Amino acid sequence: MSQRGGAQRPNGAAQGKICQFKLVLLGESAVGKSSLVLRFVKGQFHEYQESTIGAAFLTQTVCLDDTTVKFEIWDTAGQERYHSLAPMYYRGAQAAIVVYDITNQDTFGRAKTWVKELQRQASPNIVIALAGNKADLSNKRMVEYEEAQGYAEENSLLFMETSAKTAMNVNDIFLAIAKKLPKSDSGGQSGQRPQPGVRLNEQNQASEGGCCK
Amino acid sequence: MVTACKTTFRLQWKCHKHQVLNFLRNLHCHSVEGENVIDKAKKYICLIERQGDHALFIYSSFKSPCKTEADLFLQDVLPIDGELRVVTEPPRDKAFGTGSILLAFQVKENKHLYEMSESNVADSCQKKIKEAIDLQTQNAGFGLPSSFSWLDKYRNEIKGNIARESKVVDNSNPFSTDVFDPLRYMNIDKSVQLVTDEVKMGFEDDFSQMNVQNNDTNFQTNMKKSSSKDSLDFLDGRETEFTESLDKMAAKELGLKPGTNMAAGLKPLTARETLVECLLKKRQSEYVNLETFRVFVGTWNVNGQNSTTLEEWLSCDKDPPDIYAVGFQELDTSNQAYIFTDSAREPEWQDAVHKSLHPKARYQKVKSIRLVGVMLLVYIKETHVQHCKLIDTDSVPTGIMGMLGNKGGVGVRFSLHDTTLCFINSHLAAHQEEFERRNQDTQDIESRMKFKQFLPPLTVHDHDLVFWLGDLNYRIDLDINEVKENVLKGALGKLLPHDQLYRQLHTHPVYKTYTEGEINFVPTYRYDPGTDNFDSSEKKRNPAWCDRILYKGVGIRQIVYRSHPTLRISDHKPVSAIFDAGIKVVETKRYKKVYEDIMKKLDRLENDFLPQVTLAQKEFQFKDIKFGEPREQILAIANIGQVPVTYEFINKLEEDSYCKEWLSVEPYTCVVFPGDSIEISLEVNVDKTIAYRFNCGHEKIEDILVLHLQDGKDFFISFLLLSQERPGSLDNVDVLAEGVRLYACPKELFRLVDHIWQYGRHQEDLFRQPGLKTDIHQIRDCLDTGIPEMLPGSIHSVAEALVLFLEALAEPVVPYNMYETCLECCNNYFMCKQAMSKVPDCHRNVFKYLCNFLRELLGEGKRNNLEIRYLAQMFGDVFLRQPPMSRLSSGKLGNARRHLARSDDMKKSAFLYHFLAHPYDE
Ligand SMILES: Nc1nc2c(ncn2[C@@H]2O[C@H](COP(=O)(O)OP(=O)(O)OP(=O)(O)O)[C@@H](O)[C@H]2O)c(=O)[nH]1
Ligand SMILES: [Mg+2]
Repeated sequence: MSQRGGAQRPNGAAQGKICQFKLVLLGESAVGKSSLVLRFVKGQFHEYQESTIGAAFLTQTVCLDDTTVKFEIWDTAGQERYHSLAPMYYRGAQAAIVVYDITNQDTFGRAKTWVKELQRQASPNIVIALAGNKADLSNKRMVEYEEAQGYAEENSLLFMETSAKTAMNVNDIFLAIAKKLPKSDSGGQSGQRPQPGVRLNEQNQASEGGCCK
Repeated sequence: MVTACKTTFRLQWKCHKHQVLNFLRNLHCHSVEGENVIDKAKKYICLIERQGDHALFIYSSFKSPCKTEADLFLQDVLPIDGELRVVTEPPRDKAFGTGSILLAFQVKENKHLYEMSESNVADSCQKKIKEAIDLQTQNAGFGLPSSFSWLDKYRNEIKGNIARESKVVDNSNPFSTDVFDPLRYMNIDKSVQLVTDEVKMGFEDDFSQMNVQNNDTNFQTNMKKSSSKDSLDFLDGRETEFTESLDKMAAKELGLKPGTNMAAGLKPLTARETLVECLLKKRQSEYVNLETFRVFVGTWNVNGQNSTTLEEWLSCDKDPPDIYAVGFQELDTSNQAYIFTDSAREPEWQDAVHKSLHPKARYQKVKSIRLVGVMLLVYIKETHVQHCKLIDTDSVPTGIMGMLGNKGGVGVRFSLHDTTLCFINSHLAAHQEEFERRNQDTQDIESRMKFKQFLPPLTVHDHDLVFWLGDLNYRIDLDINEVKENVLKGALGKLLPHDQLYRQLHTHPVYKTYTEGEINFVPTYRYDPGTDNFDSSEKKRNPAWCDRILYKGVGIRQIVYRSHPTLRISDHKPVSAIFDAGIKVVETKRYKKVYEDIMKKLDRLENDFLPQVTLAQKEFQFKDIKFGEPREQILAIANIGQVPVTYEFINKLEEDSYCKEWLSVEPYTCVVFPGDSIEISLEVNVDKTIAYRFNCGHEKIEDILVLHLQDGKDFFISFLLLSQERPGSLDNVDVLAEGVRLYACPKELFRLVDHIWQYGRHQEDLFRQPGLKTDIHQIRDCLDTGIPEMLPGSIHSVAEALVLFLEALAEPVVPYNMYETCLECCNNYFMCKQAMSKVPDCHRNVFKYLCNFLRELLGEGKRNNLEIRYLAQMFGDVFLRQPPMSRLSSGKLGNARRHLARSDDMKKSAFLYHFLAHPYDE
C-alpha cells in the first residue's frame, strides 16, 4: 500500500520541491558573521565566538509557502590576510550576506568594498543582503540606519539591521533572501534533478472530461 | 566481453596539479596476470604529457558505462622513463576472443598486462606510447633527464583511493550515503563543469548513454503509449492538449532540460526529498483526518445491446455517492469492435451513464478507458475535483494469445486527497470448467497493469484502496436443477459454498487480499433477455454469479451489494455495491508544522553529521631556515565528529597546486576515523628558488594552504618562513682592503675563492667531483658566522659551495637584463666585452674577479686537469641565468623548449669561453 512515486501533497502546503542555494557571508573580522549563522542555524549566541580561520559550513532549510529553500551556508574568515581566498567561497554562490558592525564605521566601509567586489566578480544574479549587525548596541552606534539603507537602495541590496545576540531580524534576513531567490527551473543548483519517481504536476492535472448534470 | 571505445574521453581532473595537455586515449581493457584475469573492472589508459614528459595513467571504473569522473579511480601511474618497456602479445586465452591483444607494460620486474580489444585502437595507443618513449630516450640523450616528481601527487591519490575504499566498508552511518551529497560543497561547481564539458565533447559512444537519458527515452515511449491508449478513449480537444503538456511536465520533473546531460548520481536533493517523503508518510497520522467518501461501484455485461436508461441501477439510492465507478463488459460484440478502435457504442453508453448519475449532485468524469468491450467510467463529485490528481489508466488484454482484447481488464487510478484509489474492470475467461483460466486472467491483469506515467510505473498493489469489478465469469459447481431449486427457495447460502469464486477467494493467492461482501441476490446470469427467466435456450446454461465486486484496503465498509433485475436488455443483470471509504484528508496547517519539523530535524542531523576535526595548530613558523636543509613540522588533525573525515588540501583559485614547490605535505589526503587523529608532515625545503626569494630582499615568505574536509568546512593553514640571514647579493659588498685583490666583492665569495686558490688549485678533478652535504652545511655556517676562520670540509665541498653560492644569488653574476644581449653576441669577443661594459660595476667586478680566478686555475691545468671548455660550460651556466618568466621558463612546448635550452647552454659557454681564453681588460 505504498505510494511509490505518487507523492501526495496537499494544495497550499509546503510542496516537496526543495531548492538548494549556496549562501556566503562576507565582512570584516568580528562583525558577527559566525554569530549570525550560529543564531540562525542553532539558535545560540556565544559572547566569546572564535575568529573563523577557514570557511565554516552549515546547512539550514527555510520553508516558504510554495517552496522549500535549503541554504548551504559558507561562513568565511573576515581577517584581511585571508581576503584573497574569499572568491573560492563566493564563486558560484547564489546569495551573499555582507555584514558590518553598526558600532564601527570602518566595517561599513569594508562592507561596501565587499559589495563592489561581489558585483564585479560574483555571479551576476547573486542576491546580496546587507546586514548591520550588533543592533543591540545602538548606544554605541556609529553607522546611521538611514545611511546604510540609502546605500542598500542605491545598490538594490536587501537591508536589515540585525543582532545575533538578541536574534533580532536574523531569521528575517535569511527568509527575505529565500523569498528573493529565483525558484524557477533555471535556478541553477536548485533541486531540478532526475527523480526516481515522476510526480505529475498536480495543478495541471485537473480531471478531464466534461461535466455532467 | 570487452568493447572498444572510439571516443576521446576528456576529463577534468579534480585538484590535480598539472594540466592534462595531451589527449586521453581510453580503452576498455582488463588487467590480466598470468593466465588469470585478475581484475575485470574496465580500465582507461590515458597518456598524459606534462612539459615534455609523459606518463601513463591507468584508471579503473567500477561502473559500466562510466558516467562521471567520480566513477573513475586512479589505479596506477607509470612514468614513461628509461625503465618502461611496452610489449604486445597475442591473447593467451581464447575466451578473450579474436581481435584483441595483450598489451604489457613492464617496469623492472613488474609486468602490467592489459587486454585490449579492437586492434586498431590498440595499435594507435601503442604507437602513441612508443612515440612518447622515443621522445624520452632522445631527451635523456641530450642530458635532459625527466624528473617525474609531478607524479607524486597522483601516487598519493592512489594511496588515498585505497584508503577511501576502506572507509566505505567501515561506514556504518546510514545517512552518510543518502543524506549527504558528496558533490555538494566545494566540488559541486566542478561537477557541473564536468557535465557541461561532456556535453561540449559530444560523446558518440556508450558514455553518452547516461542512465538519465535512457530513462528519458523510456519515459517518452511510455508517454506515447499511454496517449495512444488514450486514443482508444473518448477524446476531446482538451485531453489531447493535456497529454502533450504532460510530456513536457514530466521531462521537467525529471530535470531534463533540452540538451542537458545530467550525470546520474548527482542527486543530493532527491535524496532529501525522498527522505522527507518517507518521514512525512510515517507521521501521517499527525496531519491527516480520515473522511468518509461514498463510493458507488457497478458492473454490467450488456451483451452488445444498445444503451438504455440506467437510473434504476445508478441512482436508486437516497443519497448521491462521491465517486462512481461503472464497468461494462461486452459493450460491443460486433466483429468490428475487435478491429477498429472506435466503437459507436462507447459514446452511447457513456452518455447513458452521464444521464443516469444521481440527480442530487454534479459530477465530472475522472477518466474513462475501454478495451474492446470492457469499459470503465469513473466519475467524481464536482466538489472533489480539485483534490483528485495523478490520474492514470492502463489496460491488459488476456483474450486469445493474451493479446486480443475480447477479454481482459482496464484500470483507472487516481489520488483523492492523500489516498490512492484504483478501480479495475475485468472480463475473464468464460465456461463452467475454466475457473483456473480465470484465476490466471486475474493474475495477469494484476501483474501486467502498470500506470506508466510514474517512474517506476505504479502497480495495482501500490494503491491504498482497490476495487475489482466485472464479469468474472465464475460459475456454481452444482447440478443446474439443484441451483434453480435453491434460487427459488431463496436458499442462496446453500449455493455459495459451491461458487467457484467464493472458493478461490479463500484459497487462491491472487484473491487472498481481496474481500467480497455477502451475496444476497440471485445469480445474475444467464437470463432470457427481456425477462427475469433463467436461460431457456438449448444450451441451458447453469445460473451463476458471474458479475461481482471485490475490494481491498483499510477503511472500506460495504453498505450494500445487490443486483438490479429490472434492467432486462442483457442476459446479465447489473450489479452494484456501495462503500463508505476512509479517505485521508490532509490538514494543511498541521501538515506544514510536521513538514517544517522534519526539515528542522534533517538539518540538525545533517549538521551534526558534518565532518568535525580539531587542528593542533593553524599557523606554522619556520625560523632560521637554511639553504639545503629541509625542515619538518607536524600538523595533527583529530576527528572529533561522528563520521569518518576525508581531508584534502585543495587548490586555491587560479593556482594549479595546493602548495608551493618548497613545501611537501604527506599525506596530502587521507581518511581519519572518528576518535582517531593523524599527523601530517609539513616539510619545507629551502632550495634554490627559496634562497633566491630571500636573496631578492624578501624578509619572509608566506603561504596559506586550504585544508578541506570533504563534505564539510575548510581550514586555512598559514606558513611563515623566516631566514636567519640573507646569503647576500653582489651590491651588498664588503670592499676588501686586503691589498692583493682589487675587486670589490662579497666577503663570502672572497673567502670561497681564496680558499680554493690556496688549498685546491692543484686538486685533481676540481669542480668535477661533488662535495658532501654535511660539509656544505658547515661551510655555509662558517660563512655566516665567520667561525672557524678556515673553511671546513673537503676542497670539493668548498668548490661546490662556491657554485651553489653563485646560483643562489638574487641577481646572477651577469644580471638578468643583460642575459639576452650576452647570448646574442656570444660569437664575438669584442661585442661580448661591449656587453659586459654595460653591466653595473659591482657585477662586472665580480665577473672579472671570477674569470681571473678561473683563468689562473686553468694555468694549473697540468695538475688539476681543468680544461677551458669544461669551465666555460659550467660557469657559463652559473653566471648567465635565464630571467624568470622568460621564453624558456614559461614555455610549455616540451621539445621546442628543450631545443631552445640546449642552444642557450651552448651560447652561454661560448660567451664565457672568450673571457677564459683572453685576459679580460677593459
Ligand atoms: N553585542 C553583540 N555582540 C555580537 C553580535 N554578534 C556578534 N557579536 C560578538 O562579536 C564578536 C565577533 O563575532 P564573530 O561572530 O566571531 O565575528 P565574525 O564576523 O565571524 O569574525 P571572523 O570570524 O573573524 O571573520 C564575538 O565576540 C561575538 O560575541 C551582536 O549582534 N551583538
Ligand atoms: Mg567568524
